[in-house]
Amino acid sequence: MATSSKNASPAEPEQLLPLTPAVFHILVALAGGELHGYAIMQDVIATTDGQIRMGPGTLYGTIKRMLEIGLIEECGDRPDPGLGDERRRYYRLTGFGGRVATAETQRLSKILREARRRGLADGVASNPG
Amino acid sequence: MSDSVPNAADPARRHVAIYRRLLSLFPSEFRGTYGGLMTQLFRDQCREARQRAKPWAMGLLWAQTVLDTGKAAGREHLSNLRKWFRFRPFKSPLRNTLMNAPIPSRYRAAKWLIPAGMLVGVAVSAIVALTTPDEYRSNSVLMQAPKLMVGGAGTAQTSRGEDTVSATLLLMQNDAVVHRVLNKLKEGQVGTNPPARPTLGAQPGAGGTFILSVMSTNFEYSRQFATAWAQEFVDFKKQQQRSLLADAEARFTQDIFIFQQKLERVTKMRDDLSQKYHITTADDSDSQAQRRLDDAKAEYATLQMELHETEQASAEELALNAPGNRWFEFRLELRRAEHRLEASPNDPALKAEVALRENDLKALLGVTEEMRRTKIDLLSRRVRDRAKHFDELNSAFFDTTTQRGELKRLEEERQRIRAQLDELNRSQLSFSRTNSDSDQFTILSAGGGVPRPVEPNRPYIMLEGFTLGALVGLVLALIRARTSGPKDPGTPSSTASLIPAPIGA
Repeated sequence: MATSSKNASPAEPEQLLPLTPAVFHILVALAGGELHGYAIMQDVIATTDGQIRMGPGTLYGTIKRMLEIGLIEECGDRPDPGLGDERRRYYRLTGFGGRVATAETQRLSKILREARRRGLADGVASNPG
Repeated sequence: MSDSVPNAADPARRHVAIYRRLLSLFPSEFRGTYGGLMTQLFRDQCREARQRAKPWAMGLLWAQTVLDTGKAAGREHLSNLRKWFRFRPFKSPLRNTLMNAPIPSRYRAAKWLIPAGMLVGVAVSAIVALTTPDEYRSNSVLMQAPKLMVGGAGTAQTSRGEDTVSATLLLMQNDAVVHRVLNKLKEGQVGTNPPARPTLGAQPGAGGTFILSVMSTNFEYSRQFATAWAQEFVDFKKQQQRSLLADAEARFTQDIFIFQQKLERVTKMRDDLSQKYHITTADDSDSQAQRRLDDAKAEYATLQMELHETEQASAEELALNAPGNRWFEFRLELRRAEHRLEASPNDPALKAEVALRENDLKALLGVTEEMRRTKIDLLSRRVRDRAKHFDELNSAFFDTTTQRGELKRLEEERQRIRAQLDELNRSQLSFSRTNSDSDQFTILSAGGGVPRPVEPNRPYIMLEGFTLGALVGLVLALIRARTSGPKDPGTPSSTASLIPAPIGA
């Protein structure tokens, strides 16, 4: 099985922020448990109501980079009961990946709070320019 | 990484096979690691698209897949290239961190080819630049007279447009002209080691001038070449113009000859016609012929009428109207005899007299009828003769009129040809007088310039070498990176890890 390259991991999660949308969505998908590639793709589509659809090239290119940095790791091949007997490669978050996902979530939440405070959530800015 | 065993019953097999070929866009190392997984994911997407049961679902999937593959493959290649140079242009720390990731071994092995190519290119170009000798330039300036475009018999127009300038510049560098100059100079006019073929140039100057420039490693050679080239070109143009004029003269001569031939032919036709029919263009015998024709027609009409009257009249009428005819007297005697017989009906002498008178009258009518028939025959013959005579006269009249018309036409054509011939002769005379100096060149200055060297552009030569060397190195590196490394494991022969494990393992 392929292994990630741990020597590329930075020390602090904040050093990786801001994350690209593809990386963040994969981290969010894997936050719910181990998933294989197709399941990650389906989860991202469901989470974003179909607005983000990753093809195989984008998905596995991003997975490759995340493995290299150490955000995720492989956790074996096994079949998916809902998809037949074919063996699939599963991924899961690493501890570092979880911390990075949390840091990005906090960053986005802070921006969202500020946007709400300024009335953007209701469609009216509090200080129109 | 490997792919699952392809299922022969899988309806998406064809699509998956095509997708596998598309994966060749990715770097081989990435393809080797993730090719199988990507194929598996694409198969899942095909199944999902089929389940949607929409006619456009597969088409949409392919459009998205091709786009995704193109972008992702480009990203992977770019990522590898950046890793070669440890290039970190991104603001995103994540992306910059990726630059620390290990470089694929094959790229690492090949990347030295690029700086090596640059070094070699710079070295070679430096040697070339330093060993390139200085050159010396000399110019000759020529002035062109307006050019006459020689057309058909007598037509001509002057021209000095853009196309003429371009054509002239090309002609100045005509190989035949340049070779003659080279040969002249090779005949020992400049030392024992004349330079190789110099660099030649021709360009338009101001006010209808043309500049010939020569660059070589010897100033005297450049000067002599420029002088000889200018003179050679002037002579070449003179010869060309002479030839052009000779062609035009020949065309004039030919056209004049043709027209003369035509004139002779038409004149002969006119004379032959006049002799054959004894007519001239000034002849006025039409009116006489017309009168004869009218007379013949009138005579024919008269005879025709007389014949008709004779045929219509009876013997009694003829007898009655004929001068000196005794029919009336005979009839009177018969009536008297009949009247006397009525008074004495039994008188045999009177009966005999009445019978005698009747016989005489019948005999007279018989003679008259005979005469009538004879007259009818005679008149018929005469009518026929007159009709024939009229036809002959009519035919002759028509022929003569037609021929006279033809004669007039020939005469008019002859006059026209004569006029054209005169015009041609005038044009030829005028053309020869006015066109001898057209499109000629005069030398305003020959072999000008100073013996100061024109240095080669050494920095430019070195930059050229550097760029070319870098390009060659890059191409060689890419070829080496592509041709070495593991084979694509996404083939049925390498399906180790995704074959279903035995039950209980």
